[in-house]
Amino acid sequence: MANAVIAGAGEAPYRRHSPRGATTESLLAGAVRRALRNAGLQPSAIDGLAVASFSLAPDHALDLAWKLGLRLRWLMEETSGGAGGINMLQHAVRAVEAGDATAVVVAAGDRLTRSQFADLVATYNAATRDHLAPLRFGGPNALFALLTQRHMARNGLLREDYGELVIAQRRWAARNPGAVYREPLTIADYLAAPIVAEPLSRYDCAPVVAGADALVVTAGGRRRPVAVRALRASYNHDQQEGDGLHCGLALAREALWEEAGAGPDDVDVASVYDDYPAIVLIQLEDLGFFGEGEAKRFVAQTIAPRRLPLNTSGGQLSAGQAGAAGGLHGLVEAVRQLRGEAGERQVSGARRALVTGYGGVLYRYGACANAAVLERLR
Amino acid sequence: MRRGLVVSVCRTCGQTLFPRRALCPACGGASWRLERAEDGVVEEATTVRHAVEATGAPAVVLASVRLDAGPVIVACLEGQAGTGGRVELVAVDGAPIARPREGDSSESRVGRHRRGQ
Repeated sequence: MANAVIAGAGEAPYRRHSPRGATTESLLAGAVRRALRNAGLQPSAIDGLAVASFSLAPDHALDLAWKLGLRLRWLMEETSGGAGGINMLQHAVRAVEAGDATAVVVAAGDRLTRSQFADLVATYNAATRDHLAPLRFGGPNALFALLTQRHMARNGLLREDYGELVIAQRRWAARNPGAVYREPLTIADYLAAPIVAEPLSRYDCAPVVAGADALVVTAGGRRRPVAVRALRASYNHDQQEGDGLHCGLALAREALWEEAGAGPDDVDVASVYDDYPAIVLIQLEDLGFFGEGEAKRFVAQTIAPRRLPLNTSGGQLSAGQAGAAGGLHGLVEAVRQLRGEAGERQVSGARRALVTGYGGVLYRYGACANAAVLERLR
Repeated sequence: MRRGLVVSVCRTCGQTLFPRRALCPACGGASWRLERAEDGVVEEATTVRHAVEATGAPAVVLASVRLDAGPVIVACLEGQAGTGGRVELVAVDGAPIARPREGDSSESRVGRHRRGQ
């Protein structure tokens, strides 16, 4: 069985307003080209493709293979939203290990117009179309406002606590030329920002941008390879009958860390899916970074002083959320950190990374959660 | 507009669900009795000040409502009902609207909720 490694990563620059003529396809192509160059591979070496995008329709993965000129023996299209990047990575790694492919490109990206985004939100699934859209519910921000209220009440948190997390990520973004929102943010700025839906303000909601991300997974070798030491996923863990204050990572935690031969204290850099600050804290708690009731302390002692390098690209909250690319963005950042290619924000000596995905809002909150532990091999 | 929100009750095990499912998550059953859930309690509420589908229409108040029948649903809140307030439900094309129950004044609760932001 071949050893699968991540051999390269790339990102088509995120933009609030994408350049005239840019399309979802051109952004995906840009990310793929950069990831291949980073891996030192020609397109002719690629024999597998996985893609996630909300705006590629009516094209699908096969159409993208054609447009990119790729001749393939393995193909996948992914639809689970914020957990999509890690889901594609899981399948790509297994495909390479099994010999079904030798070099797989994993890509995700979107360029959504305002009306496309509104359509996506209103018809995300049948339950949303039938029971939420008729209420003019405002999109996921409103659902996560309700969840964040529960999270505040349960954990004794104030808006300032989420603000500390947002500001810490913004400080990383200042060192990432690829982040869309880089200007320094103070707690006063944060608290004065326009409210989207109480208690969420503009800075608590990942801003929609255009962009794309890509990874290359190959069989062994390559320059500065990154191994996937552990990867676990959970879908529909509570049938949407809970309160959303825990996600499927609570079920995956034990197996994840055991397989990785590591624990939270061994993580040098973390990309934790950040559509909203409360979701970051929920995932960190479910993975054992802190215990029940300790969120406030963890924010103050670990996140605010950036003792744990968390979402070093600025995360989606500062770099932007490029639709389905949001599920791949954290993986690309972790790979860059582990390969020593993170520029001014490089975490010195980063050897082990945690990356998580969260998404697939079925009705009231996300139903997908997954996590991977990556390790630099040399 | 009809009184109550249609929920699905599993004929095999009695589990009550909203939105509907194809198979019962508790027992795997596929036979349902439809009932109208008319009452619930507001768990959280938020005024949606910036909606994706912004049309200049008045801000919607969205709420999590725990139905007496069991499920927690997302409803549009009309009138002065705050956290902990009892509401009755009506459905407009399958979408739930929650209104304060007659004789249950929750204005003080609304006030407390807003100060908590």
